[in-house]
Amino acid sequence: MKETYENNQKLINTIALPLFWAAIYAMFPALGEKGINPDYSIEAAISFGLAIGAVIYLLPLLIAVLGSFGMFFASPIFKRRWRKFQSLKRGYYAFILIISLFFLSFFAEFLINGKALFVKYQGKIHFTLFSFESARSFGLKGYGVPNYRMMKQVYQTRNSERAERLKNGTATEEDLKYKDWGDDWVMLPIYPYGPVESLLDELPCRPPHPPTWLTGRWRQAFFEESLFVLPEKQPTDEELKTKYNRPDWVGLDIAKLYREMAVAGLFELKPGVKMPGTFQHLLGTDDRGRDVFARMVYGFRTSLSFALVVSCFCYAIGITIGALLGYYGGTFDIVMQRFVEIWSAMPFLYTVMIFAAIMIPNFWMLVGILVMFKWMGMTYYIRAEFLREKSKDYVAAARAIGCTDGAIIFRHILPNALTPVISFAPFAVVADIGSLVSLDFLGFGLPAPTPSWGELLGQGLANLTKPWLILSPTLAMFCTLLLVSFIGEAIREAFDPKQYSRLR
Amino acid sequence: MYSYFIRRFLLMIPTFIGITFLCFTVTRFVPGGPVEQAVLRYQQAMSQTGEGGGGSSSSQTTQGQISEEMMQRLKEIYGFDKPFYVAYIQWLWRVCHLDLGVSDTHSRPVWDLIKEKFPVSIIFGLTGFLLSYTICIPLGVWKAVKHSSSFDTASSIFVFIGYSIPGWTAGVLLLMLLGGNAYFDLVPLGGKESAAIQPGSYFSQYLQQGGVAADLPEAVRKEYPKLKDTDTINSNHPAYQHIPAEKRAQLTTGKHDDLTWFGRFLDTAWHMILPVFCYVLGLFASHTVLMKNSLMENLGQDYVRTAFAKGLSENVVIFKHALRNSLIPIATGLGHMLSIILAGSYLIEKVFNIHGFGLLGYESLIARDYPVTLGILVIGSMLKLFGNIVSDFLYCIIDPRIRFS
Repeated sequence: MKETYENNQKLINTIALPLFWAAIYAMFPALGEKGINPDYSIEAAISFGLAIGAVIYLLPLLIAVLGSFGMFFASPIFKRRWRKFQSLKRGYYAFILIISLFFLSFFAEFLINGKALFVKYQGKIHFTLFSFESARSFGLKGYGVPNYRMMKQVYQTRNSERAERLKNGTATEEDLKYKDWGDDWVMLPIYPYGPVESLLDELPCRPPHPPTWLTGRWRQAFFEESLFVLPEKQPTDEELKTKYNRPDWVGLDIAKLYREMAVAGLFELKPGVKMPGTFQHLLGTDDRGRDVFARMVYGFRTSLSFALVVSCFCYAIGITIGALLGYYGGTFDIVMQRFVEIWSAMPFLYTVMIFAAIMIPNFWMLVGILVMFKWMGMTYYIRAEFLREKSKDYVAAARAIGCTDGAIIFRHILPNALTPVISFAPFAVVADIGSLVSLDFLGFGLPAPTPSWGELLGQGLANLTKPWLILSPTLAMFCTLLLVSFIGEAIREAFDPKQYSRLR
Repeated sequence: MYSYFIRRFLLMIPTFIGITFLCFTVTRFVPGGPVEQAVLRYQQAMSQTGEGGGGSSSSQTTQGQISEEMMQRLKEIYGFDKPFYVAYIQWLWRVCHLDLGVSDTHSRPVWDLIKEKFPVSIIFGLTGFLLSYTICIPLGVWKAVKHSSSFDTASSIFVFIGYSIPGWTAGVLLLMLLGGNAYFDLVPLGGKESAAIQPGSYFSQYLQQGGVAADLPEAVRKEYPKLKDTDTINSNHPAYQHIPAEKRAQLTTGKHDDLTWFGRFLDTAWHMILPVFCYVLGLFASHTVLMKNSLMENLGQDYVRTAFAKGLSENVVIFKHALRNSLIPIATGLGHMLSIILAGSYLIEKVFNIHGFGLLGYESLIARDYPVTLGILVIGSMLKLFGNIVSDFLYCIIDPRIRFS
């Protein structure tokens, strides 16, 4: 450890200092103004100590672990296994697909968003994606965030009106300026609906709305009598049989009959009511009128990042503790193993539920809670690997040339002990995605407007007649988990090949 | 070996204390606990009555204010008046005397609640668990025997599906498809038995003979004060024999209890189809793969080679020699049966609205009913701790090579 520190002293110090102050300011936001609150001075001292410890001890550790991963990835054995993995087509393509989808999802704001990318107003081009602009600064009414989809239409009508006036010669002074400025425009993303914005004022009827490309019976949810111009009197049975040629409608009660007739397209819409276009909401909307497709995409990003972050932290802790246990052994090993045993005897789901329900966590708190109860899994494997590797000749040789313990652990043994880590990683990701979806489903997951699959499944359970609310998250989850387990299968095959020898 | 198990039992104590202390402390220090909720309810009630009264009295405490002694009283009721470690020790002491406290929301002893809900979860979970064993063991064996055949590849698809779709998610999906709301009307929407059986439903033909309570003689009516005039009583009811014979008839509507035993059995089975399927699906993939890999490993061992060399037939070698040894990891999993069942129950019971152990835990968390929450934690962790020991014990019994020391 000391050696690692000395090797990377400059790097560590440059990272450590800002991190240290950032940690302190994050813990005591009041510090900058008032100084530490005297009531909390003990807690402050403890946190202060912890922060110092974290920076001084954890950072070199992190660098050392990353270093051993680097050595592991650079080794010829890894390269050979990687070639084997590439030759397993199913897993390799699943890997490529999921990595590129995940990468793409980080640019989701540019593709799927309710905000415009660029707005040109009065000759100036504004980049509006990440900034807050009030509607007034774009020539609309109100101080809130403008509805960019509406703004696009408003600009179009204004532009055409202006062209009309210029042609007729009734142009105002402002119109003349537009000759230099050019027309106003709004550039929307390809799919102009955001994951958390409610579309209730743009869509007719009550949510959830079905996917707009579906027709027929699926559109029944759109039917509401107030939207249609209803006939003055109920059509008689005779009329139904002859005029509409639908004898099966005879005998329906009036509400059902009108619904059927509306689905069949026999009614005119009332003036002012606009039905959504055919491909406007690919997967419909949820029970608060938010676009399901946008929520699915953002939910994919959240789920996968969450699972990766949780697995990384679990592995970091598990690897370090497992390595220390396996390498040093003795009393430390026995005590620590008992502790790990105690810790893993917790009923995982329920304890996490208790913590999450009581604390109402945000993303990083939820990560912390899950890591707290999940890090033990890896220690057993790493410990076993270390016990095996420790007795080998190269370790004795390293010791003979005077390597420190830290160097032996991180330089020599750990790169040789990382095989189980790699081969279990995809299945850990599967389990973590499952945990997040379960917690979100129960309502103990990420806070409310965060787009998530589990929350949508919960809505689906409450609205069993709205299949798109259940099918979308289930299918998204199924596909993701299937791809990840394909990867896992292929990695296991490539990295941990059990040659089953059989006589016949 | 006995000393090993004694040590394991002793180790349970710190484990148990660790788990409960952690969760107990969390319930103490995080805002929004029962005291705050009670204050909130009180304030809401006060503001409502205050509006009705129209600001009459000036001597009363201002709206929404709670006097110091009342706050103290509230804290005493919910046990928040002492420092958390004292409260924890008192709680632990009571738990040692098998007293889990009284539920805040149900106003009943927690122990009674758990006793009432536990069998429901066990029936559903155990059926699923045992069914998954009866499916997964033969399938795993067959996959191992026919390794890399077309059967193996085809069944691997199902294993992958099992990995990728958590059981309870499949439950939501199937409930949507088969529950009668969108597509087919094959299964009930949830619960553990039919609340009402209408004429024309699947089970109306299994209804018992019965009569209306109004037809009972006066003297008998008095013995059963809870019966209303319109209540029907079935032939299991002790008062049934007093109904005049001409008034007895085949019931047309009723509840689960009004069915014959066969009808009750069918009704329960009908309600169990989907939840049990979800339990099975949740365990299917891992159990099948475990069984297959375990048998594959044994088939590569030397003793199998020896058995073949002796000239034994393939069936004898596989089923008599290898299979027995490869069942060891599967069999020890039986020790964890209860905790696996309970872990599944939190989600599956929520999906199917089965009022069992898991749903009780979920609802207690929603309502911040900490005595119930902690009670369920106690039972859950005890079962898990015992499960660990039982599976170790099973290991010892099944595999005489293993010696713990």
